[in-house]
This record gives sequence, structure tokens and C-alpha cells, in this order.
Amino acid sequence: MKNIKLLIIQKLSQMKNIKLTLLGTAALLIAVGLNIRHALNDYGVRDNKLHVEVLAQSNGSGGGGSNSGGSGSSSDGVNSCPLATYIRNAKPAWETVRVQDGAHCNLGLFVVTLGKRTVANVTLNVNVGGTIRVPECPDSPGNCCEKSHINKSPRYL
Amino acid sequence: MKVQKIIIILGIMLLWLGCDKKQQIKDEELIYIDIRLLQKKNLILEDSVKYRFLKLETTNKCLIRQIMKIDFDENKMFISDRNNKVFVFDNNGTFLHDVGGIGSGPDEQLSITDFVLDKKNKQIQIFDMLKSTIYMYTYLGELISRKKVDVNIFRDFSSVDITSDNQLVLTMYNNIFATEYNYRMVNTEKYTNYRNCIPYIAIGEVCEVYRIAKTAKSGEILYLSALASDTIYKYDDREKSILPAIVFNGKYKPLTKEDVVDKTFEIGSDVEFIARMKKRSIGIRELYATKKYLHFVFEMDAEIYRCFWNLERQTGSYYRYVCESTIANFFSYVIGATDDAFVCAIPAYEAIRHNWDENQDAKSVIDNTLEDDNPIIAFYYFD
Repeated sequence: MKNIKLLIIQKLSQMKNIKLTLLGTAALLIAVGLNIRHALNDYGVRDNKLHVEVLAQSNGSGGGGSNSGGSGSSSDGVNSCPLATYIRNAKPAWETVRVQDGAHCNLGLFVVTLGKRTVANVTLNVNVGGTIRVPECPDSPGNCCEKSHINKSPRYL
Repeated sequence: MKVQKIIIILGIMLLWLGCDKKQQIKDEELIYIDIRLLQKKNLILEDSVKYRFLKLETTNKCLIRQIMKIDFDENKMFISDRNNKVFVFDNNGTFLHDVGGIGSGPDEQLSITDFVLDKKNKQIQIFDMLKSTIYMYTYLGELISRKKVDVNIFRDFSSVDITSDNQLVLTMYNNIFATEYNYRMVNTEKYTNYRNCIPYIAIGEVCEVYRIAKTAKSGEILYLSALASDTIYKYDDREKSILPAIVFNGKYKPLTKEDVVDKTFEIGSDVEFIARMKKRSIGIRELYATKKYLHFVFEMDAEIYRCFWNLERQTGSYYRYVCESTIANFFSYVIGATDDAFVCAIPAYEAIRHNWDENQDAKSVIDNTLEDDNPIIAFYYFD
């Protein structure tokens, strides 16, 4: 009788072990499966709405952008850029601005003014208002911006 | 037994890691602006909005080329000029003093990238990207301190905002060599911890700088927009993060990643061509906010509209720009906002061309204005 009891306890213990093993393996498989599915789905990029998707913010403690990208840029220093043709510590860029239409409505041709700076005459292809891009050389340490860049024509977006 | 326990623990950990809490934004937490529920009006500000015109004093010490930013505190106007100057005027337009200055001395700036008002500590912070230095001044223009910052963090940004808990939010250039994100949040306790926020949907090969207001402050709340997006974000000081707050449901659906995948852009804003071609929204722009109203611009049927959203009542209206010579037209010069008014800077040469006979208050201000004077500041009060 005692032997039977021991046998039952032993069997039960074995069954418990099997159950635990199965449970653990199942959990592991589900977890791995879900993670792979999430990864194959580009981490939700396709499914989520844009405003949710953009929450994929990155925590950073590393460096920012590189020093390249400026026309005639030099990571060693900007002194190699001749002042006659380059603006030092600046990079070629386009500035996005709103057309300040004001009193020029009836002309069809919009004189784009930014405060006291007249930027360009632009013919708009929408009825009123719009966004244009104008060439700029904004500050950017370690870069050089070719002066001719500023003479490029503004463009309507 | 040990192996089983390890397997179970591993499984639970993997399950937990598989759930990214940050991705879970409940729809009910968002406010939706449905264009079908907005009131359409023909003429902007047709509801006889109150306005006040103010002439900024013009002297050799305060010649303004182009106002880049305007902010208000303690009955003063703080104005940054494209010519690397920061001027302080009182609320009658009288010039008080400037802040900082261009030069090669240790307390001078090489460039003034932007400034912010730390209204809690009553400080003006001037950002010099070329010297990687932040200068702190009193409202009277006295230098308090300067802080050297990491050039790799404080580079390639066009403007700076400060949050209610003193975090800095930099509006970043759009360029593959700059950042791939609309914003960078910097912790002001260390100035070395930062987080890039809201990835650009399109990144240009050439750098793009945004002078169109992408951010707006309504009281203590900082609202932010993103390139080609119909979502307005909000800085959450509990989460210390930028979260979606308002979604504009216009006529067109927003662009998705699939619309722009495998496409290259000269500048980021070229994504608007794709949007127009595919009948998608080009996103909302020009955020300005009073305590009560949020203003933004959107495009529909090749026309541009302004939306004024009442943040308290959660109602709003939108207006199409109409080519009539009215005071309201000068709203296109909007550059900022106070707690209760939207602020426009009208170039003097534009203001003097207009016939002000029907508005004697404005006429009295503009009658004494010369073509080359500093801009006229117009305050448009809603309600």
C-alpha cells in the first residue's frame, strides 16, 4: 500500500513537471512568435495611424548629424573655404516660407516679401497664397555654403 | 526544475517586452477636428474682431529688417530680427534696449540662432549655434551666465521652445546629414541628454530650414506640428514626451509611409507634390495659439484656408483667403500670439499703401508712419 502511494506521488510529480515544461515552452513560443510577427510587420509602421506611428521616438545620447552636406564643406575646418566664394560655418539650404500676399492680390504675380526683404516675384498656381522655398545659407558649424547658392531662383511648392 | 523556471521566466519577460506601451495611444485621448463640423466663413475675421495697431519706435538703435520671433511678458515685447539682434520694446512700442550683441568677445555672440523667454525665471536665453553657447540674460539685458553646450546636440536647428518644465525643444532642419526628426528635446539639467522626436515622413538631400511656425504656446501648453502631418502634438510634462493631441480630419487623408517609400526628395517639403498628386493632405502649417484659440493653415481644392479652433469649447471655423483690401487681409502677416490676441507684423510700406479712412484708430497710428519705418504690430483679439 505504501509503495502504491509513493508511486502515485512520483507520477503526480512527473506530471507536474511535464505541465510546467509545456507551459513554459508554450509561453516562450508565443512570445517569440509575437515578436517575430511584430518585426515582420515593420514594428507596426504599416498598421498604425501616422500619429501613433510617429511615437516611435528614439532615445539618444550619441552624436548629432555629421559635418558633411555643405557644398564645399570640410570637417577639418572651414578655413579651407575661400571667403570669396563661400560663407563659412553655414550650409546650403532652402528656407520654407509662406507667401505674404497682402496688397498684391490683384496682380496675379506675387511679390514675396519677408518683412522688409523682397525675395522674389512668384506666379502662384493656386488661387491665393502658398508656400515657397527660397535659397538660404543658415548657420551650421563646420560647413561652408557657396555664395552662388543664394542667387538660385525661389520655387513655389 | 531550474531549467523549467528559467524557461517560464524567459517566456514572461519576452511577452512583456513584446508589448510596447508607448505605442498604445487611446483614440479617446485625442481630439478630432472634423472639417464637416467646422463652420465655413467667407471672409476671415468677418465677425468684427477687435484689433489694435501699434507703431514700433524707429531709431538707429532698433532698425528691424525682418521679425523672426516675437514674445511677450511683463508688458514688454521681445523681438528677434533677421540681422542677429534681439530688441525689447514696451507695450506702447517704445524701444527700451537690446539684448546681447554680435562680436568676438566672450560675452558676445557670433550669431543669434534664436531666443526663448524663460518666463518662470524671468530670463532671456539666446542660442548661438556657431559658438555652441546659450547666454542667459535678465529682462533688462544684463548677462547672468553662459553655458557651453555640445555642438553635436545644438546644431542644425532653426528655433527653440521651452516647455512648462524647462525642457528645450529644438525645431530641426530637414536633411539626411542633419536629423531625421522634426524635433529634438534637450534636458536642461544636463544639456547632454536628448531625445529626437517625430520622424520626418520625407527627408531631403538638401537641407531645409523651416521659418513657418511649427510650434505654438497656449499658456503653458506647447503644441507642435510635423511635416506633411495632420496631427497636432502636445508636450506632456508628466510623460516628459511629445504626444499626439489633436487630429485634423480634413478632406484628404494624410500621407502614409507607403506613399513615399522608395522616393527621393531634393528637400523634405517636396513631399507636398506627392501629396497633391495622390490627393492626400499636405498637412497643417502655421501654428499659432492664444489661450483660447489654436490657429493653423490647411490646403483643400488648391486653396488655402485658415482654421481657428476654440480649445475650450472644441468648436471652430475656417476661412478662405479672399482678395479684398480689408484690415483682415493683414492677418497674413501673423507672426505670433499673446494670451488673448494673434499678432501680426505689417511692413510699414504695406501699411501706408492701405486706405485707413474707415478706421480712424488705425489711421492715427499709420498716418505718422514712413515707408522705411519699423513694422506696425497689429493685435487681433477674438471674442
